[in-house]
Amino acid sequence: MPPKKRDKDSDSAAKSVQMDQMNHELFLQAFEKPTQIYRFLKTRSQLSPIFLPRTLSYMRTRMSRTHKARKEFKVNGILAQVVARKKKEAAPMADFMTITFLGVYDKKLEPARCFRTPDQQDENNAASAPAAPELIKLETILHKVCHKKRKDVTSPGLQVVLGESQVPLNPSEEHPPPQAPTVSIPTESFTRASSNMVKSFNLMLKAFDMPQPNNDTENAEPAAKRRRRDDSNVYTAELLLFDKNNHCNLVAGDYELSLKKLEAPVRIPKGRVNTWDKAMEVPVELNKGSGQLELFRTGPVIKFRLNWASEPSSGMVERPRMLEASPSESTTDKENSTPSADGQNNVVAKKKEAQKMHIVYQFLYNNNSRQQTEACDDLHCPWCSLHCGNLYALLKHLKLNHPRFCFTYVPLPDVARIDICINECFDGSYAGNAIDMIAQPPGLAFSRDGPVRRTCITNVLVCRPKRPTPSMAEFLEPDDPDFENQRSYTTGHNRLYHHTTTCLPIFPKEMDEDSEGENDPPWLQKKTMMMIDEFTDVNEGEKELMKMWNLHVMKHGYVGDCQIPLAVEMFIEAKGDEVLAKNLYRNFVVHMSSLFDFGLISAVGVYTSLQKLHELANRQECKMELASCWKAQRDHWHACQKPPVLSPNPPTTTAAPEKN
Amino acid sequence: MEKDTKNRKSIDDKNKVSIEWKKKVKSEYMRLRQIKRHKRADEIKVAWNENRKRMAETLQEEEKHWQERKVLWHCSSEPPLHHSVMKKAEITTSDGEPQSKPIRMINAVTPIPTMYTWAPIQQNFMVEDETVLHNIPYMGDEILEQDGAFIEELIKNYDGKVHGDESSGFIDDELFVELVDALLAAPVEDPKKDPKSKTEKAPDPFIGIFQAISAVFPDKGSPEELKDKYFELTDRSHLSTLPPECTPNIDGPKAQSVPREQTMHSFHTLFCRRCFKYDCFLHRLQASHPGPSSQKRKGPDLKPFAEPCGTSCYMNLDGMKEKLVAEKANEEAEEKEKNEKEKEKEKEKQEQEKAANGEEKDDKMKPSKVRKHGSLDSGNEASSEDSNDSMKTKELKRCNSKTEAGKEQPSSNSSCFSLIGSVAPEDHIEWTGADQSLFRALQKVFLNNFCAIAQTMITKTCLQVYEFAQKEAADIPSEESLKDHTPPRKKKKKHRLWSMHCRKIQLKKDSSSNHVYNFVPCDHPNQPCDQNCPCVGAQNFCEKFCQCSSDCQNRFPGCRCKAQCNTKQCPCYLAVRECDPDLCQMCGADQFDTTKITCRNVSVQRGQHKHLLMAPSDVAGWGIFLKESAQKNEFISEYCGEIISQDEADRRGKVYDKYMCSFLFNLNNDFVVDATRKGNKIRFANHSINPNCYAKVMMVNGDHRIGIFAKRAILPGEELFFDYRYGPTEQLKFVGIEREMEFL
Repeated sequence: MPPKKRDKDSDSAAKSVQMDQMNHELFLQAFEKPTQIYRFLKTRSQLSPIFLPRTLSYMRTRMSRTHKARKEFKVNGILAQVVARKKKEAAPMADFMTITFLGVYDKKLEPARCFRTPDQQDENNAASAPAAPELIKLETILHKVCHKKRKDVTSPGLQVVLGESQVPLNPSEEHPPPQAPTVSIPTESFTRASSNMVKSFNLMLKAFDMPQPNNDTENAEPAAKRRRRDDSNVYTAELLLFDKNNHCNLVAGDYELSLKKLEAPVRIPKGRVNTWDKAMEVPVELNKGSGQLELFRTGPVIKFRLNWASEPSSGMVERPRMLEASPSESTTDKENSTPSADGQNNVVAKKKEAQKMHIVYQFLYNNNSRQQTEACDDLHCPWCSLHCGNLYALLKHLKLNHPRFCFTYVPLPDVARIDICINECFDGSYAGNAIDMIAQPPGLAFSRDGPVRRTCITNVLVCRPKRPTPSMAEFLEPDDPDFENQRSYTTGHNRLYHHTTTCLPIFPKEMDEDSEGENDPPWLQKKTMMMIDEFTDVNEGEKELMKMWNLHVMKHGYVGDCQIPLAVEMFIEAKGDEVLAKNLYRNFVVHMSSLFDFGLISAVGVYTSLQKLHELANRQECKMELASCWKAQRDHWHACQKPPVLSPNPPTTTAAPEKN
Repeated sequence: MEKDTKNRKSIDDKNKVSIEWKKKVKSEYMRLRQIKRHKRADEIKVAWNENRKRMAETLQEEEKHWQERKVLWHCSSEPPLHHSVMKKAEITTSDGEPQSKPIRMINAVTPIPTMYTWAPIQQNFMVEDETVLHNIPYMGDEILEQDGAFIEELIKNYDGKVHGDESSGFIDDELFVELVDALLAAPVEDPKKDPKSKTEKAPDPFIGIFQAISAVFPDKGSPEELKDKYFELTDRSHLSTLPPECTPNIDGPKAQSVPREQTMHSFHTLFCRRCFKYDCFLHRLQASHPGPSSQKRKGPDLKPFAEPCGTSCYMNLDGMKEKLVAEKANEEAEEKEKNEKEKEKEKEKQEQEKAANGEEKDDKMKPSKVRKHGSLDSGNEASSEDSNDSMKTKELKRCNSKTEAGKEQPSSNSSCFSLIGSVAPEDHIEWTGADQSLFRALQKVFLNNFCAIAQTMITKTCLQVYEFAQKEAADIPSEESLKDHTPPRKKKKKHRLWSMHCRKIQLKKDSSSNHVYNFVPCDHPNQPCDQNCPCVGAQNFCEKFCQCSSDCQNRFPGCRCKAQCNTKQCPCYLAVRECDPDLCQMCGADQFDTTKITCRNVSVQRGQHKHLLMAPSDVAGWGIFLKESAQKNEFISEYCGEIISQDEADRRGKVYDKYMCSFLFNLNNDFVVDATRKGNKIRFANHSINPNCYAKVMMVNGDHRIGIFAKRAILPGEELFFDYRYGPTEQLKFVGIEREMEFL
C-alpha cells in the first residue's frame, strides 16, 4: 500500500511536474509573441527613432532643460538676445583674468600635515592663522598651443610664465588663511595676433615640491628639504582657456583641478569645465570616468577662483569664501546633457538611492494560476529598456506603449509590484487617425517628409448635458429635440473622406477644397455648347455668341432681371474683345435687342453697353477686322444680286463728302 | 384608286426586274450597313484612344501633383534604417549567390461601398421621358432567375421598346439617300435609260429602285413616298449646305435682308427668360418658356437726341427741326393730359433753347448743357413712366447709376466708333442684307432715334438710316401704340394691396391642400388673372415671367424686410418662397455681391451651400458629412438632380426599388427630382426617423427647388440625415427604402 501510495504520489508528482512544464510552456508561448513584437519595435525605434521619449508629457524626467525661456520668448527679442550674448562674450576680452588660489588639497596627507611650524611661514601667508598651512610654490604658465606643422609629431607649444605664488596646502575650511595669492593675466596675451599659429591657450599650473603622501620614511621631513632633493616632484594641472575656435569656456567661479605628476600631464575637467568638447577630446578618460572621480577624491587638487576683472590685482588679496558647490550648479551648463549615462544620471541616481526603488514584475497567466516574478532594481522598461526616470512614467509608458499586456500596479512596502497579464481585449485595431490607415505602407504618421496636416478631432471625455426641467411639455410636440439627441463622444472629422467623383481618399490638406464650389463644372460647360451645336436652324454666328453668353451666365449665376444690365456690362468687360475678334458684333447687337425685347434691359442700357463695346473696338486691329468683314459682305451682296432697295439718295451725296 | 392600280401595274411590269432589284437592294443595303458599321467601329476606336490619352494625361498630371506634395510614399529601393530587424525574403540563385530583400508590409485596404457613376450638377436639369428602355438592368444573376417577371414588366412599361432592338430594319434618311445613290450608280441591265438623269422626273429605273426598296422595307412607305422623300432630301443637300430654315449669319458674308422676326428668331426662341441662358437645362417645355412680351418695354427709353450727332445727321435736313419740334409738341400735349405741366415747361424751355442755338454746328460746347437738360428731363420722364413699376426703375437706377448720375439720356456725340471712314463714300451707300436686318432689329429698340441706330450700326450715317427708315416706315408700328397703357398705381392703393396680399398668403396656408403644382407662366392676353388663369388654378402666384400686367392681383408682392428674412415675419419666408431679387430689395436680395446681402432667404438661388464631405456612412452605404458646423435652420444644400415627370419617376422607381437604392424626391405634383444620374453630394444623405436635417420645397424665382436645412445645430463631422418621408406639404409620394438604424 505504502509503495503504491508512494507510487501514486510520485505519479501525481510526475504528473504535476508534467503539468507544470506544460503550463510553463503555455505561459511562455503566451508571453513570447508580444515580447518578440515589442523587442522588434524596440530595436527598430533604436535604429530609426520615430520620436524622442523626452517630448512625452509623462517623461519629463528625461528632459534635462527647462522650457522656462520659451514662455518669455519673443521673436522680436532674438536680436536683443544675440547682442547681449555678443556683449557678454566680448566683455572678458577687455579685462584681466584674475586667478585667486585657494589652496592645494591632498586628502592623502593627514590633516596634521597642513599645520606646519610657523617658521615655515611665508611672508605671503596670513599671520592670523593659528597654524599656517604649508606653502607650495605654484607657477602659473600660459601655454600657447600652436598649429601643428606638417612634420611635427606633437603640437609645438609656447610657454609664458605669468607668475609664481605660494599656495597653502590643505588650508582648513574653518580657519582659512586670511589672504590668498592671485595672478592676473591680461587678456591681451590671449589675442591671436600676438603669436601666429596659436591654436589654443591653456593655463598650466605647476606645483613644485608636493609633499609625498605615502612617504613612510620622510613623513615629517619638511617640504623645503624635499624640494631641493627631489626635483621630479612637480605636479601640474592644465586648463583650457581658449579653444581653437577662440571660445572661452570659463566663467567666473570656483574651479578644482586635479594635479598630476609632470610626466603625465592630464587635463581633468571637472564641474563647469566638463564640456562637450572635452568629452570628445578625451574619450578614453571618460571611459574610466569613475576612476577620474576617484582621482578627484583622493589625488591632490588645486582649488582656485577665477574672476574676470577690469583691473589687475597682484600679490595677495583677501581670501574669498568657497562657493557652495550644489549639484544643480553642476548641471547648469547647457551642454552637459550628454548621452553618457553617468553624466546624466547623477541627479537621478541620487534620488533613487534615497528611495531605493525595487520593482517586481509579476507575470500572471491562466487565471493567475501561473506566476513568475522578476525583480528589477531600476526604472527601465523591460521591453524597450527605456529609462523612465520615475515609477509614474514607467507605468504610463507600459500602459500606453505595450497594449498587448495589462498592467496593474500594486504598491507594497518598499517595493512596487507590477502585475502583467495578457490583454485579451487587444485586437490590433488602430485608434489613431483614419488617414494613417490608407497610407501604404503603414506609417504615414511617422513619415519624415515634413509636417503633414491632420484633421481635427475632439474626444469628449466628460459630458454632462443640461437636463431639462421636467414638465409635461416634453411629451407635446417636440419643438426642440436637442435634449433627446445624444451626441457621439467623438466629434470632428474622425473618418476618412472620399472624393465624390473618383472615390479616392481625401487627404486632410485637400479638405478645404469643395468640389461643389463651382457652378459650372467642365462637363456642363461642354454640354451646353454641344446642345447649342445640335441645332440645325441656328447659324454659326448665333451659336458662337450663345455659347459665350451661356458660359458667362453659368459662371456668374445671375439670379434676377435686375442683374442683367450688370451681366451685360461684365460680359463686355470679360468677352468684349473675343466678340469683336470672332466677328460677332452684329450678333451681339441682335442679342442685345433680344434682351430688350424680353424686357431685361432698357434702350438706354442697350445704347450705353454698345458704346462700351465701341470703346473696345476703337483699336486699330479691331477696326481692320470689322472693316474687312463688312467689305466681304458688300462684295458678296454686289456679286449675288442687285440690291432690291436701290437708294438713289441725293442727300447722301451732300453728306458723304463732308465725312472725314 | 388610280394610283393604286398604277402602282400594281408597274410592279407587274417590272416583276422580273424587281427580284433582281430586290437582290441588289439587299446587297447594297448590307454593303452600306457594313461600311457604316466599320466606320462607326473606327470612330469608336478613335474616340476610345482619345479618351485613353486624356485619361493618361490626367493621371500623369495627378501623379505629378502628388509627387510635388510629398505626402505619398515611394517605395525606395534603399532599405530603411531598421532593415536589420525586418523580415526578409531570401532566395539563392543557381550560382549559389543568396539574395535578400526586406519585406514591407502593406495595410489591408478597407473596401468602400459600391458607387455608381453620377455627374455633378449644382442646379436641376430637366430631361425628357425615356420612350425606350436603355438597358435591361443587371442586378445579379440570382435576381434575374428568381424574378423574370420583373424584367418583362419593365419592358412592358416602355411598350416593349428596348434600345437597339430595331436594328434589323433600321434605315434613316442618310442611309436611304446613300442607298438610292448607290443603286443609281450601279450598272443597270437596261441600257436605254440613263440612270444619272436626276432632273428627269421619275425615270423608270428610279421607280424600279424605289419599288425595290419599298418591297424590301415595306414599313418605310410606298415607292411614291420614298421618291418624294428622296427628292426632298437631295434637294436640300444640293441647294446649300445650310438647311433652308436657317437664317445666314448676320456677321457672315452671306447675310440676307430678312424681316426682324426672322433675324431675332433664334435668339427669341432659344433664350430662357428665367435662366437668362440660351437653350437652358431646366425649362425645356415650351409652356414654361415665355416669349418676349411685345406689350412691355423696359424703360427708360432712349429719347431722340436733342442735338444733331454730326454733320451727316438727319436733323440737319431742311425742315427736320421743325418736324421734330412738332413731334415733341405732340408728345407734350399728351403729357399735358397726364397733368405733367412742369415737365412740359421744361421741355418747352429746352426746345426754345435748342431752337435758339439750333443752327450752331459746334458740338463741343453744347453737350454739357444738353446733358444737364437731358438729366432733368429724363428724371421726370422716368418717374412718370415708371410709376407703375417703381421697383424696376429702382434697380435700373442702381445698375445704371453711372449714367443716371451724369446723364440719364446719353448725348449724341459720345465717342463715336464707326467704320464709315475706312471706306470710300460710295461704298457705304449700299444697304447690304446685314445692314437691313440689323436696322430692323435696332429700330424697335431705339425707335426714332436714328442717331443711336446709326452709331450702333457703325456702317451707316445717320442720314442714310433716316432715309432707309422712311422707306420702311410703312411696316413699323408707331411708338405710341407700344406704350403701356396701364394706369399708374397710387401709393395708397399699393399699401392696401400689400395687406391684402398678406392676408391671402395666410389664407393659402390655412387651406393647405397637399397639392403643389408646377408654376407655368400664364399668357392670356387682354384677360385679367381670374379663375381661368392657370396660375390661379394651380394656386401659384403670378411671377414676373407671366405675361399679365405687373399690377396683377395674383402677383406676389415680395417683402419689405430689413432683417434676415428667416422668420415668419417675412411674407416670403411665410409663403415658402425665397426672396425674389426683383421684388425684395430692402433685404438686399437683389445685390449681385453676396457679401452685401443681409437676407438669409436666398441661399438656394445663390447656391450658398455648406461644404459637404462624403465617407462610408455609419448607417448604410455612403453618407454625407458636414465639414463646418451649422446652426439650426441653416441652409445645408439644395437637393439637385434631374427633373423628370411623375410617369417617368414611376418607371424609373420600379428599377430603383429593385436596386434598393433610390434618389427620387418628389418636387411637386408634376415633377420629381431624380439624383441618380445627375446630382450633388447631398444625395448621399441617409434616411433617419430622428434626423438632423429637414427638406423643404421652396418656390425660388418661379421654380420649385428642394432645400435641405439643419433641424438642429450640427457639429463638424456629423453625418447628415433627413426624414425621407417628410416634406413641407407631405407631397412625398415615393418613399425611400427605410433602413434600420439605431439611435446614435
